[in-house]
Amino acid sequence: MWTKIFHNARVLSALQQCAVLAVVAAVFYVLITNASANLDALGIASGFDFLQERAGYVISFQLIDYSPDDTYLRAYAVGLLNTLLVSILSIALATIMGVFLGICRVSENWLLGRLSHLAVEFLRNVPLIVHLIWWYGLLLALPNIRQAISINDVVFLSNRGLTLTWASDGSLVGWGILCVIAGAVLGYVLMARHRASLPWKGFGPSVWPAMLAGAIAVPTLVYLFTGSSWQWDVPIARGFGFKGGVTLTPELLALWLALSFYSASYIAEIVRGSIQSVSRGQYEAASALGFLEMPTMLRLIVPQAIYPMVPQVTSTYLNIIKNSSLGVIIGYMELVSATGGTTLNQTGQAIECIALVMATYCVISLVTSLLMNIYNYRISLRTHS
Amino acid sequence: MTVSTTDSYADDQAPPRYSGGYVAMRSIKKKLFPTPFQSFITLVTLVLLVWFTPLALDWLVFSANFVGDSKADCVGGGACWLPVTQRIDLFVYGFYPDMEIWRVNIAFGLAAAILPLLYIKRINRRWIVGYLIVLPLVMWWLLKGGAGLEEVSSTKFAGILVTVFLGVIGMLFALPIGILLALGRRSKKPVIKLLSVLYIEFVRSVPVITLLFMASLMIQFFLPEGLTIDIFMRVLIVLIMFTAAYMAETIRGGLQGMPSGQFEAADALGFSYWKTMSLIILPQVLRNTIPPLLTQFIGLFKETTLVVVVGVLDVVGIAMSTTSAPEWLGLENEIYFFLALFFFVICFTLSCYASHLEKQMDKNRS
Amino acid sequence: MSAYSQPTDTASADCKSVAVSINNLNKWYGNFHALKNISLEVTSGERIVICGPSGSGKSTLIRCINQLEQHQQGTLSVLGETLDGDRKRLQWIRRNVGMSFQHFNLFPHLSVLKNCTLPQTSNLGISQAEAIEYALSLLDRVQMREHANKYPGQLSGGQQQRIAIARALCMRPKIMLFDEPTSALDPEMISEVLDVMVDLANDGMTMLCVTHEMGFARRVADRVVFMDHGKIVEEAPPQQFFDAPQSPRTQQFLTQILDHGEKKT
Repeated sequence: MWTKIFHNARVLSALQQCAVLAVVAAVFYVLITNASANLDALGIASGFDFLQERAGYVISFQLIDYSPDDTYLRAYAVGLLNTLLVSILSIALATIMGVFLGICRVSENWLLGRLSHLAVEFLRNVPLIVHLIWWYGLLLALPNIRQAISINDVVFLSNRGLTLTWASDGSLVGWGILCVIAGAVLGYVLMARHRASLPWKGFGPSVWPAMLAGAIAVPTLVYLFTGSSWQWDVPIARGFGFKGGVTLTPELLALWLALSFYSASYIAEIVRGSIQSVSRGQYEAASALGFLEMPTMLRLIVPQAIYPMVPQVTSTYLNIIKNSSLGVIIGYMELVSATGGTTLNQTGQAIECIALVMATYCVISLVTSLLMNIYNYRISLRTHS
Repeated sequence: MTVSTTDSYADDQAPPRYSGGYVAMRSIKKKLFPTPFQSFITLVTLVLLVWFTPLALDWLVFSANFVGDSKADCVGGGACWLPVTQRIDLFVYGFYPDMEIWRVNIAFGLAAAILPLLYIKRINRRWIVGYLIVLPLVMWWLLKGGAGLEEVSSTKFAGILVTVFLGVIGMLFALPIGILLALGRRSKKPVIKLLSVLYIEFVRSVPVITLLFMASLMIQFFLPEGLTIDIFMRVLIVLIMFTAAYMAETIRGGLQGMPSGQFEAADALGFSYWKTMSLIILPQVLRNTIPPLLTQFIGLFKETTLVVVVGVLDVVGIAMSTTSAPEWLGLENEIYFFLALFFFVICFTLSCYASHLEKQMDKNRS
Repeated sequence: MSAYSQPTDTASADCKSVAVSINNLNKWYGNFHALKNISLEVTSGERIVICGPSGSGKSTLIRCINQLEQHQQGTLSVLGETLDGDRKRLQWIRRNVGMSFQHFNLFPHLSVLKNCTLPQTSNLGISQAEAIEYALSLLDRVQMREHANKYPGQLSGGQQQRIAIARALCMRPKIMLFDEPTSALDPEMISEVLDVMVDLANDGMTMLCVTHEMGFARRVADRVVFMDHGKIVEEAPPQQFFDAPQSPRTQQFLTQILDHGEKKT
């Protein structure tokens, strides 16, 4: 009877899995006991209480208020916001450049096609770190404050970075962004309802102009009503820095530009691949119906190509967020350099710091995957033959 | 009503031949000036090219200095390639002892030999698999020493040596782990599948730099007291674990592309799971996924540049130390250009090769 | 349910203008001689069925008529205009010659109705309202009106092909080309598409069809053209073609085709 039980496939499989689990558990047990023994021997604390301690270090670029007297937890938040900032800026610029390069790649103009091919291959095959140190070197070689390049004395470019006139009341920026987003959403909602009320699908005005109009109208209205009471902070050169205004440090600029150019090449390839994957039959049908080249591309080919692009472009965006960790190399205080770098060095609690950083990235990736799955589900309802 | 003879190929004619000049003109018109708008673009691009190219060539080659001893020898407004030419040994071999450099050269040669091997069809596949299994071990022995060869500490590894070592050996050791992970992810046993998924998704969600930090700062704590592994080995281990997760996804894609008929036929013929995989499925999958795996290798090759963050000097690390050396101050552009050129040449060649292999395979399949 | 309706007799094709005139057409793909000295004249209102084994050049021939393929030698004129590379003339010809493809080629991101109206508004300059009305009447004619708001991906092959024909008809063409319209369809959907084509033939549309549906040819065609290896081997009215084929190659082809289960009669 016992042999029968052991020969049963399901029992064997269950036993196998138990064995695997036991091995994994044993390995973890050994690792953890080693770790606690080593940490005790070195006198390093455990746990996340350190997050409440005073940070004691300066962060050169910050989006929210932070001083060395704030906690490590706040430093973590600042780092996280810096990561998101450079990621969003890079995503925007990389998308614009990538789409442009991708369209040049598929252009029927031979010269443009070859040149953009060369550009894309060059940008893609050079590692990101080389892009980064090159841009950083370039930005550091800009003239100093005294001879800063300026546009109308409201924008300055120097080796301290890009200094912009900003609103004196910092929260105005937050309100401004809120107004833009609210306007875009309002435009979208109004236009979507209008389109849904039409009897025929696809004949209403498109959504983008409405969103753009909303994004511009709402802040403009708000400004008209309240703008006269605003204060502007114009930067003035004083000694080794600018007084007033906001400065985008060379570290931020270098990381932004390097990430954008590098990722633009990947987006260009995705755009090219998607457009080329549209079957020849579509071009033929368009020709047979009398469409000229430009309308064919704009109204028939490109809209079809967008669907397969989205998952690939999303994974490129995720790579941008992960690659922002290269800020460590030039000293841009994003998540990894702040919590994984300075905080870790000061507290010595390597395990907790690195675990915190990794967990943050895992959450970001998870959220993005979820959004991607929702998008895929909604698109699958509108199936494509 | 018409009837014609059915001598099919007898009246094949040759196509009309136009003069070379006519064909060329027609071709140029079609490719460069099809419409007024495109013609404008072509003209603008040509003007920019004509303006830029002589300037670039002049700086790069014609006014540049290739020989000399120090910065003072750089005259004539062009690029000063001296930091590269003077320190080329450092860039390529790092601090490897001069007497043993022949070992590094052999290792480079063996690694490069993989490429033609992937291509030639006449070699029995078993030899190729055998070569790929033995190669990392042989390279390890050649570079690190032991068993007859003088030992070289990995602290002496730097430059292109590091890049190639980490890239090639990392990839080859990661291959079996990646295969196991891919199989594990497709397994029907929930525990194995869960463990594989957790591992793969975790490694793919975090940036490489955090994994490198883990190697440099965290692993120490988990080892029993007294046991230390030097940083180079730790970085290698982490890179292997990292690559394996990405390769697992590529191989899983290949497995999913396998027609289920193969699995069913193997089942029907009585093959066990492992026999099916090792004799029937995996050989096909691995052959089909060579182009994407090669692309992954290019990615890994570029990722190895990040090890400078934890203090391992690869070619980028050497370049960064060169730019900050006082005797070569101000020559960053030349050094960065050399770096860019190095990676561009290697990665571009590999990616052309990969797409060529892919076309070959498509041709053979259809 | 029987196959499709019976076609009515066409008016006698004596006076009529020439719709398509092909003279000594030659086309090469590289060194491969795809079309060899093809000469064919199609009068307005005529229905031509072109058949032949695969690789015989029949699709290439009709694709040359709206210049989806380009010929290297010979003259080709459509509705009186010679095709010689002039873009304006080509556009005019494309707007007067409709085509139906083997794989339908509907635009998947547009609704069925939008598929039919966009060519009208974009290429004929017709107003939106008029385009919608005309498109709906054509969709009605192919019995697809109730699907006007659906997307092509939600419809079967037969439905898509009928919509594709309606879309081509929205351009008010004078000639319709059919490139194997039913070859990609499941058998039970073939008859619904053939019904549409017969209906079209009844209205006097000039049609050139490349098809394997011999029953359709027998019923509808004014002439059947058999091509092999790039040449027109035989060309005759259907009675003569099917009952008394002259060339041995034609006889061979017909035995092969008709032996595969007797056609729908």
